[in-house]
Parts: sequence; structure tokens; C-alpha cells
Amino acid sequence: MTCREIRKRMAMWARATGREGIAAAEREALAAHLAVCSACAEELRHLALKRVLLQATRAPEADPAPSLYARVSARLRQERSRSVFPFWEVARAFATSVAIVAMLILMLLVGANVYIHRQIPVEPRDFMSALMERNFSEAERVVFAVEDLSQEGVLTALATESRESR
Amino acid sequence: MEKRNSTSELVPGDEELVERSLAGDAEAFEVLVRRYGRAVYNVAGRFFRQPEMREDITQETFLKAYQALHTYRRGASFERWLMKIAVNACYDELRRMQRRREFSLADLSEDERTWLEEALAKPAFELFEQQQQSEDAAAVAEKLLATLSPEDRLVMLLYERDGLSTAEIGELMGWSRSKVKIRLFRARRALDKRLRRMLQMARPASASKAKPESQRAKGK
Repeated sequence: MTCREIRKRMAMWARATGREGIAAAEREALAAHLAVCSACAEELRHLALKRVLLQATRAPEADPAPSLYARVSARLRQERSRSVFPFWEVARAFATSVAIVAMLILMLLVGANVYIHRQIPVEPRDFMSALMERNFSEAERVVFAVEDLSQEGVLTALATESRESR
Repeated sequence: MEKRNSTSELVPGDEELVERSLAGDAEAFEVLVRRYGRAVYNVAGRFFRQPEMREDITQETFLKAYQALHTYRRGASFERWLMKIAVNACYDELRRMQRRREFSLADLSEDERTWLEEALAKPAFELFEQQQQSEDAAAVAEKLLATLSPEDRLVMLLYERDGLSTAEIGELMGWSRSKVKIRLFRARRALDKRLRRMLQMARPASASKAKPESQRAKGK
């Protein structure tokens, strides 16, 4: 076998697939090669150490302590008691969202009410335009302000008022 | 396996137990815990030797499985599904662990050093076929592997030691096959580099005892 072949074989043996070790026939060929090739012998030492160390990391198969089951059960019970309550959590979340929606609707209604009944400021107008807009209270104000209640007096006052306000 | 998946009055199958758990039957999940407790505990044992750590991981695994029970697909193997959760819990733990900066012989105890020197003094064949495991070997390995990244450590153990294929590792971890292959390549390179350094460091002490051929190998 060449060094290349030997190394390939060794790498295979080093993996778990070769757990049973090196087959007797191959072992002989390998031994013959290693006796004359120190580089491959060195490689085998490297692989062997790697294999031994990696195998050592694995804990032997064993049964867990019986107390472990009790521990797991207790932890699961704790988890369940937390997850039984989602009903209340869901209910609370639902109540909160209903309250928020109700508040929004209320605010909307109040806002609409205020908008509808808003007071539009009325600008003082002259008598004639007030009359034409049927704003009688404004027309009254002008008439009451007139001192001379003769026909001419009233007409003069109205004319003055109209001019001034224009 | 077949018995577990079939539904009989005496031995309820995994699927039935899952459904009963989902419906709120607390006892049903406890049966699954008892059924697979040992298997999960031993999956944790692939990565951690300390019993406390293995117990913590077992508990964590069942808790996660319980919380994710609704994601279990009917018809799939429950055991496989659970083992996936277990390996990932181990991986999470590996990620949480403090990583060592580098390996040094000075970090080894007297016994661990002796083990290493004796191992290197043995003929390579003998070392290669050594089946006997020792606590010292485990401690040396732990210190060496602690210098690897969690991903490297995981693929190294699953592939090199346990003999899983890249496809199997990919399925367990939810990684693509190319990611596993790249990881594996890097992990091998990283571990080999550390091992060679360890061999170099440990050699002067062991060489004086019983290794004239390794000196020749070096000189060649």
C-alpha cells in the first residue's frame, strides 16, 4: 500500500465506523508499512490520540437518577399552572381592547357633537344685508340704536349704518 | 419503535400520548417523559459528562418539547423529534459555556499529564485500539475541546466520534449540508492543529521515556 492509501484507511478507522478496530489482515499490511514509514507512523499516533480523546468525551450510557423524573414533573406542573391561566390572560386582554375601542367611539361622538353645534361667529352687518339674510336680531339692533324715530331720521340712520359698515 | 407508534389499550403510542397531552391530559406527557427520559439523558451524555449538567439538559429538553408540542407533525417519529430538541439544547449549552483561549499543558493536572505521557509512550496501534476510558483522558479531551467553537465541537463529536453523516447532522441541527461540510472542514483543521501542538508539547517529556522511533520520525 502507498502512503496515500494507508492514510485514507487510517482516517476511516479513526472514525466511529471503525470502532471495532483494525481488521487483522489490514493490520499486518499496515504494520509492515509503518515499520518503514515514520511519517505514516506519526500520522497514526495523531489519529489514535484524536480517537482516544474524542471517545473519552462521551459519558457511558447510564440511567438517570430516579429523582430526575420528579424534577421534570415538578417543572412541567409549574409550566402547566402558568398555561392554565391563559383564559384569564385572554379575558383581560379582551377587556382592555374593548375598553380602548369604547373610549375611541365616545371621543368620536363627543367630537361630532361639538362640531355640529359649533357657534359660527356672526359678523355685525348693516341693516339691509341683515334683513336680506333674515338676520332680524341684527336689524333690530340698528333700529333700536336710532334716536330720531321720524321716518327721515330712521332712513338717515340706516343709510349711515350701511355706509359705515361697508 | 413499532409498539410505541401503534395504539393499543395497554401501551398507548407516542402520537396518542401527544394528542392527549395537547388536549390537556397531564399524565400523558409524563408517560412520554418516562419513556424517553433515559434516551434524552444519554444524548446529553454525548456532550457533557457531569450528571448534573445532563439532568439540566434533560429537563430543559422536556420543557421545550412540552411548549412546542403543537409543532410536532403527526406521522413523524416522536423520538426523532425529541432527540432533535435534545441535541439543540446541548448545542445551546455549548454556546453558553466559556470558551478557552488556548490549550496549554500547564492547565493539566498531574494525573492528566501522566495519562497523556503514558498514552504517547504506547505504540500507536495499541493507543489506536484502546477501548478503556479514563476520567483523566476525558478531562484532557474536555480542556482541548473547550478551545474549539461550539459549532466545531458539535460537528467533531457527532461526525468523527459518533459516526453520523453530514446529512444526519444537517437534519438534526437544521443546517444545510454545505454548512455542515464547511463546519466539518474547519473543525477538523482546528482540532488537528491543536492536537499536533499538544503532541509537540507533550513529546519532550515522553520521548525521554520510551520513544526513540518518534525522534527518528521527527528527524526524517
